[in-house]
Amino acid sequence: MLELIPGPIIAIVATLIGVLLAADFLLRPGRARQGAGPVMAAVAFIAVPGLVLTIGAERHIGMSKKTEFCLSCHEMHPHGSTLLDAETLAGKHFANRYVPREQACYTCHTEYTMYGGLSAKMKGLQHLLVHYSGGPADPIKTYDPYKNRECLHCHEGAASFDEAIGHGDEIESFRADTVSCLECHKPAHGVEAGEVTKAYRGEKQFDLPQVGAKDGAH
Amino acid sequence: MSAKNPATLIRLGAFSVIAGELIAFASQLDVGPTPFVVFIVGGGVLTVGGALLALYGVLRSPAASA
Repeated sequence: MLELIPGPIIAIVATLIGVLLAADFLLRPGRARQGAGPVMAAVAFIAVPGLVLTIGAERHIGMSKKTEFCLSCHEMHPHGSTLLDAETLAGKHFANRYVPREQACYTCHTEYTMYGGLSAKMKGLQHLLVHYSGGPADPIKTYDPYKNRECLHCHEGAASFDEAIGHGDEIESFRADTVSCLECHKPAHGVEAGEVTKAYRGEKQFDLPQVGAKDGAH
Repeated sequence: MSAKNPATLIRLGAFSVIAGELIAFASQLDVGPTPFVVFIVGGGVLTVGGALLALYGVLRSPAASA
């Protein structure tokens, strides 16, 4: 039922109810222990704020899967620009719509930062700290070698994958990550050393894909 | 208007909850790490802190006599 209602409307209604209930206590604090006061206090200060924050967290985590979110940081612009370069693996996926353009980064980096376990979330917070304080590593590297799982969850079983030379013989090696897909299919992004720093400092501008609301229009 | 006055605690807490909820909502209008930080630090801390303060004030309020 709730998924039929757009997220922004739920957020607006919940916030409005929360503000009105809290405003009532702001103006009439004396009613806190009168009649239904304690129950209303529990609703105003526990239930509704909990709901408002849960909705907000859900919406923020949902938005952080968007390409727009990743590319809002300048240091990610070099990687984002490779989505427009059909010579790179990322660019081929983007140009051919093998990945949804709205979630191009997240589709291939599913366990990155916020979306993994506790340690991944801590790394995500570390990224925020780096973004606002020191500056990113250059070149940017994933913490762990890229897992074939990210490729196989779409490609395994596809006719084009099964018929390609070498895939059928090596499938167990791919599953076990003893042979990386990237050994043959490279470069993934092809960002040169130094580009990340230039982007972070605003010394170089990069062309980025337009993946806003107008994407998919004629 | 003492800070230990239950009514003052409730008012301060309620004000903080209102501010926190509005900031939490406003942060959802933009996409990026900064709105996310604003949501956690501004919205989360103000709302939770204010709610705890208000509830403490409610608990310290004298019960109404019959």
